[in-house]
Amino acid sequence: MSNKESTFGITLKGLTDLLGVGVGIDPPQDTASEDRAAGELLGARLAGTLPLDTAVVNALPAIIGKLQAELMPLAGRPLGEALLDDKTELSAIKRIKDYGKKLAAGRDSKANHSSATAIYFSAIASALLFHGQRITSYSYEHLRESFNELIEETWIPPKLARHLSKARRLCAKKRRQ
Amino acid sequence: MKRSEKTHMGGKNEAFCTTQWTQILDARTLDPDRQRQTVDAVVEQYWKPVYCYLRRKGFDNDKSKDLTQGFFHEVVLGRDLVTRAERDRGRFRTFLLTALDRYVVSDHRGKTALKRRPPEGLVALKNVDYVNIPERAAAATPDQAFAYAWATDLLDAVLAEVKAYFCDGGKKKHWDVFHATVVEPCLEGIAPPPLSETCRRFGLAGKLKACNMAITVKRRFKKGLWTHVRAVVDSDDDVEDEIAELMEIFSGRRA
Repeated sequence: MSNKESTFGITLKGLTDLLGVGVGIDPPQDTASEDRAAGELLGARLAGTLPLDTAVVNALPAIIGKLQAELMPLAGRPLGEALLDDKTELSAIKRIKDYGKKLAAGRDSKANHSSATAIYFSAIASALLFHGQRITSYSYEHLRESFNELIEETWIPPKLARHLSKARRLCAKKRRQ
Repeated sequence: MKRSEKTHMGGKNEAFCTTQWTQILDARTLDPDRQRQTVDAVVEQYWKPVYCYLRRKGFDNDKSKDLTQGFFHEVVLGRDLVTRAERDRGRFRTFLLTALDRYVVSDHRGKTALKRRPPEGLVALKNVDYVNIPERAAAATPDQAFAYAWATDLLDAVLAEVKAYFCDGGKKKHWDVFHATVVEPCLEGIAPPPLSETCRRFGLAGKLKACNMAITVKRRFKKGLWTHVRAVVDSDDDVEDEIAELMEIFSGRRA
């Protein structure tokens, strides 16, 4: 490469991004419509906020304190942002996991189930990485395999793939201990 | 979730990779001429991270050059390296940085053996055009400066190989699309151009074509990055960890 094209001089962010290209996941050349739908649905959900639990809202007068504890940690932040932020509280991560589980239990499209499962396991990954807590009864081996399967899905966004990849490595280390 | 096939990126032990450790250890068994060539190759590959680290430590250009010479001659190519390599290799980058840190401390205490160095110095460093850390990374710690020079050298090597592969193989447009949509935005710190603009610029039939071309080159880039990193770590499993660690260093999450 010529000096003009050398990466020496690049910003730290640019350097991180370029390295990230080397570990990111690419969609296949002709993305199947179902995979594309799962990817689009996941993207939309990650950009959205957690919906208010109507049961909690209805009981507001009685449980103001609990509401604050449950909702304030997310405070309208996009799900994707909350999942990848190491400052997100464990209680908020657990709520995201439960949200994903509830969505996945629905009997509608495969795309819906796939994107919900991604949210569910991403929350488990967040709890492991940011709080050192396994918020599920799945074994480390099961989690490692689940993270691995998700990472290989073509519709998983690169940042989430990297997040799951870190969790996968952690589970592999835990399994060996 | 369906189980899809693993992305093929070399796989465990599929190709023999000559590690940096092997290269350095082999150098001790070669005839003087070949030994000199190997030594020069090692120095040429790793002088910049060492020099950048020293400059960020606060040493001026002349002192940094002198310390770089001394470090390679006395530590990297010295007897101690063999002992270390035989006992516990680990990642070459980490070893180099730890050894460099110790060397700087030793030099400060006046314990380095200047008299053992060849009077003519190391050939590979004679004509080097010493550089400063770019302004954009000027706030880096010495460890970050080391990792920065290391990573940029690594990426330059990978990108040069990928470029040659596609341009020499009659697919220059593939490289150009990848450069415009991936490399240039990273280099310039700007958003990637819209696909429609890329199609117009390179005369492509449609957005899917542009995507496919970029992805084709990206796969080659990923494979190249994996191969280069594999040469300086102990096992296949360490490759991803090494890249992740570098990314964490530059994001400020690790010193």
